[in-house]
Amino acid sequence: MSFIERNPIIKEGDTVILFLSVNNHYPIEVTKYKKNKSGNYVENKFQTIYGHFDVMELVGKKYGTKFHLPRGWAYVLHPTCELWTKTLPHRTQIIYTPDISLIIFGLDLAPGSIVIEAGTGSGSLSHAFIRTVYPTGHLYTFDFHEKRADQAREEFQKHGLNSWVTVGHRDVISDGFDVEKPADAVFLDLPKPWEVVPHVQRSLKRGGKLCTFSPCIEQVQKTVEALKRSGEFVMIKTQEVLQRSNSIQYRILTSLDFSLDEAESASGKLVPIKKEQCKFRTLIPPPQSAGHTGYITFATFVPGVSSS
Amino acid sequence: MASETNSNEDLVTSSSATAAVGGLGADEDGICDGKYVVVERGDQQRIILFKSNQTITFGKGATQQDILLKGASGTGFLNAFKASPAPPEVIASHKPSSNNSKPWKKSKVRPQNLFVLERSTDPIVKSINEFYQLPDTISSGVDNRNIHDDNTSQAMKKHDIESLRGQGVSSKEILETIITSSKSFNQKTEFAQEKYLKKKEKIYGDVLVFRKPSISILSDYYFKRDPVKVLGLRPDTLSQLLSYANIHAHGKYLIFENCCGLIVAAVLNRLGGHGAALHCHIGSNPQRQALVCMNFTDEDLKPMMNLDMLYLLRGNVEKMEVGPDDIAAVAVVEAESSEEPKTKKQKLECDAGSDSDDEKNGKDSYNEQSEVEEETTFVTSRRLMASNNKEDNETSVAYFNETEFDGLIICGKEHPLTLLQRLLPRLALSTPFVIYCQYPEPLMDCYVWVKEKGIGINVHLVDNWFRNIQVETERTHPEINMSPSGGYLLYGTYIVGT
Repeated sequence: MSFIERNPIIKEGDTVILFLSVNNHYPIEVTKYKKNKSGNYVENKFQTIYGHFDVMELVGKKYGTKFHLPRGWAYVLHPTCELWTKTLPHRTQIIYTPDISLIIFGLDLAPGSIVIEAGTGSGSLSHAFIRTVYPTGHLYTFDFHEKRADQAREEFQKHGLNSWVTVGHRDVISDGFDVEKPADAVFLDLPKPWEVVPHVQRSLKRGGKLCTFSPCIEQVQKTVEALKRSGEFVMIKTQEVLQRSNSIQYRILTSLDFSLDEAESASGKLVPIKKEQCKFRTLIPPPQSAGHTGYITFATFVPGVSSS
Repeated sequence: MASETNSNEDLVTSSSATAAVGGLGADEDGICDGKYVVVERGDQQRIILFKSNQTITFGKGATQQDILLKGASGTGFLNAFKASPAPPEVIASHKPSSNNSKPWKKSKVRPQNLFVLERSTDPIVKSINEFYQLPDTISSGVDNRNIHDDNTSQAMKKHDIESLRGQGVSSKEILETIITSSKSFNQKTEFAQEKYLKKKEKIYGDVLVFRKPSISILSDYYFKRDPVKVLGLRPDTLSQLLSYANIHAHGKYLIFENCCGLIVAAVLNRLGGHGAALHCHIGSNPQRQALVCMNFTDEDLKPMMNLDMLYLLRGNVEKMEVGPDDIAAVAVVEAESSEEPKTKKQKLECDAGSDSDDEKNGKDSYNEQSEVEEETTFVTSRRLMASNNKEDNETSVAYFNETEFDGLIICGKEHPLTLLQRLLPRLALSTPFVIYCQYPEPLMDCYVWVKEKGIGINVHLVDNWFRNIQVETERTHPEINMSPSGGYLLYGTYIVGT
């Protein structure tokens, strides 16, 4: 089973997205047993608001079909990076699809790209990196938190992605990346990206791209200053993107009828025009949406003069 | 390298070999005739079909530069080149090929406008920054309290500048003369001086950088220069479209697009030669202006198939999973679009990158000249030359009918609903569909249809806010201008209907 290679039927070992509603969906690993809180293996049952079920019942079901629960139903969906990002277990703050999309796009990634990422965090972006560089590229991802690195490695294995990713436990500020192949892209999501710039210069190939994700403008300022000081980065730009998810609803606004004169208007009051005429379909923005995620900075590495 | 561009086939087969012969790095492919390249001078950007015997024009009037491209031929990307006035022997030997260009456009090629390119020996950053190095005699002020806008500051007049140019003085030297003969420049603050230089770089900049075209560059370029052509699709929206459609190598995708071929190009780029991209379009001339700019190899183009939507109408109707009403609607779309004059379509076909813009502005001699020959001489691949004929379409129809696709993208000028109705049933279960539209209303129609049929889940209608930030020491702030809309996306997952 793999996030990338699609199979129409659910098999044991798959990760399935159980979709109850827009704001209510969960990733489920289809196994006979799961670890409980005290670390013992118990039968894998899954609890939902519509009752619980034995996870092994999912085996043999078709992706994209209805799955009946004791008091209702849900859809079973094939995992994608986007669904995973929405449902994954948070070990850290994660990067979401709008930012992920811009990062991958701005880094000009494609199959065959060699990418370095620090830190791994919860692996939200890593999944999308792997999907893009597959099947001929590779992701090297590092985290200074040993347990997090181990958990990410385990997840990639379960998601059938391990052939295209190497997870390292490493503090890249002190130790650098130690990736032998020159990288097409380096992505940094860590508190002090400017301290990693010398390591980035050693790891990127000529024309390779760096991207940093920082929530604070002070971080961006320091990073850009470090990049300019190095004298080897060009086309430095900083961007931010926010996505608004609108809902589509019908609304009725009462229209008052001024065409009737007082005599016609039986009650002597203003009369609304027929309701159906006042109905319209519209976009309703969410009551609250993200106001800031992070600043995304891109730069292109061009050391010295090329040999040609 | 240039000698190998005699025929299209040579060009395709030898492109990887040439890189090695030309002394470029193993991974680095370089600038040569018949390839699209991005040319940057300061903030100005052009995407051109490179031909070493032609010029590229920046600026106009007294400061116009017709820069001979020869000096860049055979070099790698991301080097700095300095444009300097052409020496007399070059001027003498240069025969402007403007005779070929349209007679109603009088190309004013003046010898003092002719520049040559020379590879800078300095690192690229140094070359670019050099423009901002002021002469030592220049100091700067604290604020603008003593600066008055009374037109007396500048002693240089227009004819003075022209006479300097006539003497073959370099742009940078002319700018320095202008600065030193200004009474107020010394009183400007350091920041104001830099801002002034930034403005002047557009006119007097003399450093050119060549870059390899990429989807992000193309998307940005089209959106800035001609958003109508790409239906207002902003780069951030395109980036999300690719994510939500779950584009990856070995996937099989169904794409309806008439957005300059930008979407198809982006999908092909993400497929890396593995998988399938069935490009559905109306008429026999799919849009490919952006696609050709990517210099795709035959290998890269292998996943691409074309399908004239007309064949979905005439094809096996009994196999269709849509009602007769839907088919009728598709027919209307077809009829409307075929009313477009044929000549316009053909022009779009051969008009790549910046051409039409420059034509409008009438300032790029390079493109005027190239446009004529482009179609006949420099089509980058045999695959792209193949006409979209009946046989191809029938192969595509068969493929369309037998394939369960891994994703659907709709991005076109037409109302997306009937397209969605016709194409969505070809998806495998639990795969994504993404529709782009510049306006939200058509997407609402699609949303309502999908929900009524119960064949979509996780359906969202989103739009984006996207901003560039200027980051400079003590001057960091969002850029003064931003794009207020990048279009709307409707995305969701296809599921079995109720």
